[in-house]
Amino acid sequence: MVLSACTAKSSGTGDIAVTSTDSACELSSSSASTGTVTFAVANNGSKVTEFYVFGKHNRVLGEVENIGPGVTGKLVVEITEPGTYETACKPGMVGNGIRGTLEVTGEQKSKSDVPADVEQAKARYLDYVRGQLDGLVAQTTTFVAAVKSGDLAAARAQFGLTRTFYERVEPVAESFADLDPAIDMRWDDTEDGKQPFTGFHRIERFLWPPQQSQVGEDGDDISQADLDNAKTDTAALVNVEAEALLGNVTALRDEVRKSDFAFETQSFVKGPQALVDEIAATKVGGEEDRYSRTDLWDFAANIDGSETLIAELQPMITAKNAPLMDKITGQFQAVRDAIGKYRQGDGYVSYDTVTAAQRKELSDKIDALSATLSQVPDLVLGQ
Amino acid sequence: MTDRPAADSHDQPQRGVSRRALLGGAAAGAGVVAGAAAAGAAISNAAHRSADSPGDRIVAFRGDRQAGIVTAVQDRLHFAAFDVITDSRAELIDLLQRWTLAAERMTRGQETVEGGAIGHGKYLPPPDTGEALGLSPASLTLTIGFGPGLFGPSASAPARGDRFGLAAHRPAALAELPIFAKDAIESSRSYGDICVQACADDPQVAVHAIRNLARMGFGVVSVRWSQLGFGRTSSTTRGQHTPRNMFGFKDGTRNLTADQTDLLDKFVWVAGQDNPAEAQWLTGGSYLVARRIRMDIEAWDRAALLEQEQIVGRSKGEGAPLGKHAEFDDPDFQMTVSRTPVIAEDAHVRLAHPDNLDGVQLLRRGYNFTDGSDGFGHLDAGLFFLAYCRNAHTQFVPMQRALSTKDAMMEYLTHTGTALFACPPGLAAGEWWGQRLFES
Repeated sequence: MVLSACTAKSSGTGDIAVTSTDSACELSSSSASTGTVTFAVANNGSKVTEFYVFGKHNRVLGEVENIGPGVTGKLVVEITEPGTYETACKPGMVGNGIRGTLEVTGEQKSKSDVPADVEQAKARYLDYVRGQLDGLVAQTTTFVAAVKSGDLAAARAQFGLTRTFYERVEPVAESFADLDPAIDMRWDDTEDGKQPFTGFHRIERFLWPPQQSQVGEDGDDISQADLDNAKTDTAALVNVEAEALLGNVTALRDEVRKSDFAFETQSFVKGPQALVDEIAATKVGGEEDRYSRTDLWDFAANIDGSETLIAELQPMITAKNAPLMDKITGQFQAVRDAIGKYRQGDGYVSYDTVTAAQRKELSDKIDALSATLSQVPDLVLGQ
Repeated sequence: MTDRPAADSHDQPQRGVSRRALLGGAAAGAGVVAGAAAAGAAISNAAHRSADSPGDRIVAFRGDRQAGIVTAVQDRLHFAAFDVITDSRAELIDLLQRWTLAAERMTRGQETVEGGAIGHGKYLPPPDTGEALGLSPASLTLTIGFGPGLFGPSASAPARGDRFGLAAHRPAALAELPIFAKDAIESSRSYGDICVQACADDPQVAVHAIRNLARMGFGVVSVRWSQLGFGRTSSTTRGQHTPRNMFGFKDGTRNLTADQTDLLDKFVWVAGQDNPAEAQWLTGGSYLVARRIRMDIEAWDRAALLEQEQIVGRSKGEGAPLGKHAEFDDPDFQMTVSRTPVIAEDAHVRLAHPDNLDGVQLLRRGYNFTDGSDGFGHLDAGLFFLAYCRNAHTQFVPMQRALSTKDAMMEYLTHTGTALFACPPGLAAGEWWGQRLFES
């Protein structure tokens, strides 16, 4: 087994014990090696204390605050350059504190910042997300118009395609804690009807009214409360929901369009797997589109989004582990082929025609892809 | 513990090495901060416990025979049957090689790979899931078997071809078991291309092992079904007392034991003459029959003690054959009272006795199970029957045929799962699971 990655990452330095009293600040060691330095700060005084590590120009490299009497706090600081650093305890949390010095030796280390190529890839990906959200707004406009005009056949035909734009960028959309549920909530999120049921799936239920025969307890079944609630749906009520949906997807697009919009690097590098796990966790059972059974549209869209992200990360993955990239490519193809078996016309067959055994086959391929994608963040962000 | 005297050295349990102590060493080697004081404490703790804690034992992974067959039966089981979902022979071999390394480490109480739970950086899913950290080796054994589906069409996939070029190496006796009378076999609890039997004295150790093998296998194998077991229902050594099954009766009194080497050679281990040259990879191995037997617990509990004892053919307290006094007394099938047999014609012990099966025996290694309750509030419980034999079709099948049609106990039993696997012999140093099959 190759284990080269393990040993390199440890600084080899033990914790430095810091004892803070009302009048003293003692460090168990006044020297450390470059890399990660950990301080265990015990407050043996009677006042609440703080502990600081300062770099050049009194710049705070790290601080741990609000350590009560008798309590121990922990501070982890990344020190990349050898040199002399200052430490300070601040009993009572006031003043300059009780100062000391820390000699750091060892070679210079690069800070574990996000690599530049990752930042560039993020910028390109953001363009993609914005493009998809433009598409979402345009397509939702058409969809909502069909609903409101009473042309339900046209609305049904639009449903899967409209959702495609949303599902492709789902992890980004999900970072909006208010908009995402308003747009994409399921009946399961309503606490059995105590919360308002809004968004795509509310309209979906109106377009494909559930029947008593669909009531059951499996993930893709309809609950009795859901069915009862569906009977209260009227065209007028649903038109209001449709209008609200258009407002919410427009708001989502506008938020992401803002020049200062940014998403976490972590969520970016985990995005390919997150999209695939969307399918693995809550879609392959058929829960997502339980009225329309257009689930396969969503699967394909999640895979689209995941592949787009991987395309951005591909040079970084290939540089560090070309066989892994080949494996990812092959597994994407296998998932594509598996979904492709269910193509019908411009879309996909109804998911209720996909048998349990076929669903497991899909699930197996998705699990395999997800397991491989779980290796990506370390390759991209690891040193 | 041993299959034969010559094998003493490698199947002898080693006491007193705790998982925690091993991890302390492994973690320090990987550069992870592991408090020296903590590791020291664990070692002294282990030394203190070794005298009375069989759970600290390490059962040797390699040897002439696979561990987990005649090894003294541990308390807990996690059994998994996998479908192979790739058609790539190379991918399957690669997985078997990685599995072997991880399995051997886990039986020693170690993580799947060095530093697996926390030592591989913060951006990777840890290669070991970690729930066995700090637990002892717990006598973990991992035993592998290969199902008919690896060699071509099978009960679960009749249309499948010979994906791995192994058809010529399929032993003739690796043929799917027949469906017996009153079987209610559920395909989703049956069959499989590969099985791994994890036995340990700690359920978490057994579950950890299967869970980690399953996650290593994503894309290559897929868990088809699995079964948890507790409370061994048979003994494989004279040192173990006879356990009780979910009906409250001692079970496995007449089981083969590890020291009966002649009988094991006759009834458990596959011999060279059993197979043609192409299937010699199995010589020294065995066949594993797995059956999930649901017991109708509530109805049984409403049966009078007299009826229960007549159905079993033994007393509930001592476990003695009816008409005898002690558990290990030989049953007397001729004895009558007022011309009625003391042990009824349809009693379980009579039908399952070797005397009534042309002397045939097999090595049982079953476990009790309960999978909670069903929709009627009845225990979904019973016996997960595991038995090793030299040829299931000449040993298990006649026995089960007799039981399924005549056994009074069948009124309280439903067989819901079935599977047959060929378990190769043990591994030599450096050898991987299935190597002799794939290289034969």
